[in-house]
Amino acid sequence: MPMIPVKEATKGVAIAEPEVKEHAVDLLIVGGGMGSCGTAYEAVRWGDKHGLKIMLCDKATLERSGAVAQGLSAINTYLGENDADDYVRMVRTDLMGLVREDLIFDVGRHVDDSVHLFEEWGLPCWIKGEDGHNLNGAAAKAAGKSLRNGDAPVRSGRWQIMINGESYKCIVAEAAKNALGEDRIMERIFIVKLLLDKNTPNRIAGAVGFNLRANEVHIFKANAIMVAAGGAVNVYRPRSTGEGMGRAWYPVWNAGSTYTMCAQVGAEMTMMENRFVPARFKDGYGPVGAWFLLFKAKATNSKGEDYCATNRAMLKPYEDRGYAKGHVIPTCLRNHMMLREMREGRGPIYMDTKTALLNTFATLNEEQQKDLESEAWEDFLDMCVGQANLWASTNTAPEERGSEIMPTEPYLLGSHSGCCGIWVSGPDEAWVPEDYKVHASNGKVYNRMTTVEGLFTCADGVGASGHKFSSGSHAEGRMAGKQMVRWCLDHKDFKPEFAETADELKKLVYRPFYNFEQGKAASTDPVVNPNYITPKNFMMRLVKCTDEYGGGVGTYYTTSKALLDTGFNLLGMMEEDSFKLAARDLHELLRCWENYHRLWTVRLHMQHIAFREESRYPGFYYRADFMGLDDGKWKCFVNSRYNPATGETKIFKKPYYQIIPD
Amino acid sequence: MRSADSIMWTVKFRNGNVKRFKFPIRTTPEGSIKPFEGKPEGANIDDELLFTESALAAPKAVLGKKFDVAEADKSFTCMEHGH
Repeated sequence: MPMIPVKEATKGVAIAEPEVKEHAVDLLIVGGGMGSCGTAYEAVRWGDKHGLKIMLCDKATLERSGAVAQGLSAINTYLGENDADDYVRMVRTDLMGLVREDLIFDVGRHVDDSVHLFEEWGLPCWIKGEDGHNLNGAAAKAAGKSLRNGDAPVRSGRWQIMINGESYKCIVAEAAKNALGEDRIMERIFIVKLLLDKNTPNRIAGAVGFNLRANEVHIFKANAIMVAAGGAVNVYRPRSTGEGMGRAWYPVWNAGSTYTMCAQVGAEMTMMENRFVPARFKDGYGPVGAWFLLFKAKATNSKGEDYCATNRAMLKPYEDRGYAKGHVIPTCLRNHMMLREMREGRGPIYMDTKTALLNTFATLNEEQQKDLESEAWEDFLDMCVGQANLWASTNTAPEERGSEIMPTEPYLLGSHSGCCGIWVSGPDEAWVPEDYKVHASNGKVYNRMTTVEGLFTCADGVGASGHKFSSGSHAEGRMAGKQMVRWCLDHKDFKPEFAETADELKKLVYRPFYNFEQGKAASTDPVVNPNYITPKNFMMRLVKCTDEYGGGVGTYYTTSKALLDTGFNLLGMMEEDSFKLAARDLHELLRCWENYHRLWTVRLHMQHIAFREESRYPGFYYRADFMGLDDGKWKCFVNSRYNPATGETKIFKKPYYQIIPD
Repeated sequence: MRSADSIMWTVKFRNGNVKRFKFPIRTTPEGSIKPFEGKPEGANIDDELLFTESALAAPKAVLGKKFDVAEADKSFTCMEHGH
């Protein structure tokens, strides 16, 4: 008998009553991306000599997990001859002055070491040839050149170097895998909740999750935990629709798990109001960095005007206060100028690839032109194949015509051009303000530890310190990995104990399964039922709410107290409904938990936006009721802390210290 | 088509044009990474040096300037349920 599509059985791994498996380790690593691979690499080196038990859990597989899955065409943080002091100045300028300069300097002084390792492990890094032309990574190696030896990288900008990075993650994952060994990695295990110690307040004790391929709930006891599971995507309605819906710029599997899990156990959060709205090639989300920096392309409105020139006056209020100096324009202010063009009907906005290529072609012979064309296409093929596909399917040859660029839906992340995340300790050195250090109960300071004892984060998880990118994330993971070993050695006597029983945890994790089983009989349609909500429908409600009330693309990123309060009312109902999420297979169980993590993360983002009464990041979001930038009241961090005992979140100001002089 | 050290792409345009590209992807054999071979053990667990490092930079100049803001004690408390 033919069935209407919605009544067909779901195709995921069948869900059933789970087996409970319990583990005890010293050091648990949650997430398998660049940050966690760095943590694993460093922790194994320091920890193995003490016989520490280490386990890494990735909800996917290490080889291609995280933001670097598809590959990258550039490494955006490699200092080379630059100073970390200048690196701090650059990040501080781009993020409108509110950054943890200690954390940024710290990344800057370690990051090159990770890049040298990547090159050694097999990542092809472009090098400048003797004749000034570019050697790709294979040619560079064949010519005996390397970054480690001090040979000049091919820079697309002051801080960025070009690579042939299609297999970047595979290479970094192999190093982590070979360091850990297969039996210290559990793939397809999705950790969904952290667990505090029953006896010691504010002390991490473990985590719980489930297997994506078999009905198993996994409970881990641990002394130190790293949570580095990426940022948050599809927390706002994406511009993509229909067959493309869900397509985004940052990886779609990033569900805010890092932020939600840490916030839920009481970790202090910081700058959750910050978000990143990248301007990228429209619909394909392809990168524009190489076009701007390497090929020197210009972005124009539909009249062919350089809107960064025609709208220069819009920057004046910010320049007057030192927020945009000369040619260094913060990313949000570039968007700010572009959005005016779009709002006033002077779009579409184009990246003039034609002029850029033809200008450069003019100085090259035919073979060199072919090389340049190849470099232009590689930029997409290394890291965003969909953009190459879009050009091919629309007959777009960049040397013949330009391509539209567009600001995307908002993303939440801490390692890129956004800086929301978790408040962590900086290093225990004299140049770091005391307020930037988190002292554990034993009096010591553990770099990159959150305010929850034994709980660490890195990469997208660390707030107020963007512009790490892939290399900085790995380096930061390494820093935290060493500190976690130090923590375990300093806390050898810790015996974790949970308030929750294994049975309670199993029921919590599998609640969506029980919800489905108990409620399904009430309707002939498996996705429309008064007793439960499917994860997909939950997500659709969430992203419509955030888009309309939380400053999504639908309102040109504009919100206000009144709009936010309307949103909070709806989010409150969604929080109630989240208890009734239902899963029909293991894939849906994954989605139930991911979308719950999304709810918490984006709600916190909106709560921070509501608290900060100014528009600190015009071009990323606007408070219509506080359009200006108000240093007198708001040149400070906005932090928050959830109390797991009372369920309350307190949002407050935290002082900013300038460490590096202007 | 992806091999151990390079990748070949064929891009077919809607209008029939075809472009072909080949890029390197790896300069070492698959599976060959020996993560710690020839590397230091890591000397002091209590300092900020990663095990591969022997020197640590510090800022050239340190301002240490705290920015005071009006209503520094402002806070807001909201209620949610949480799982």
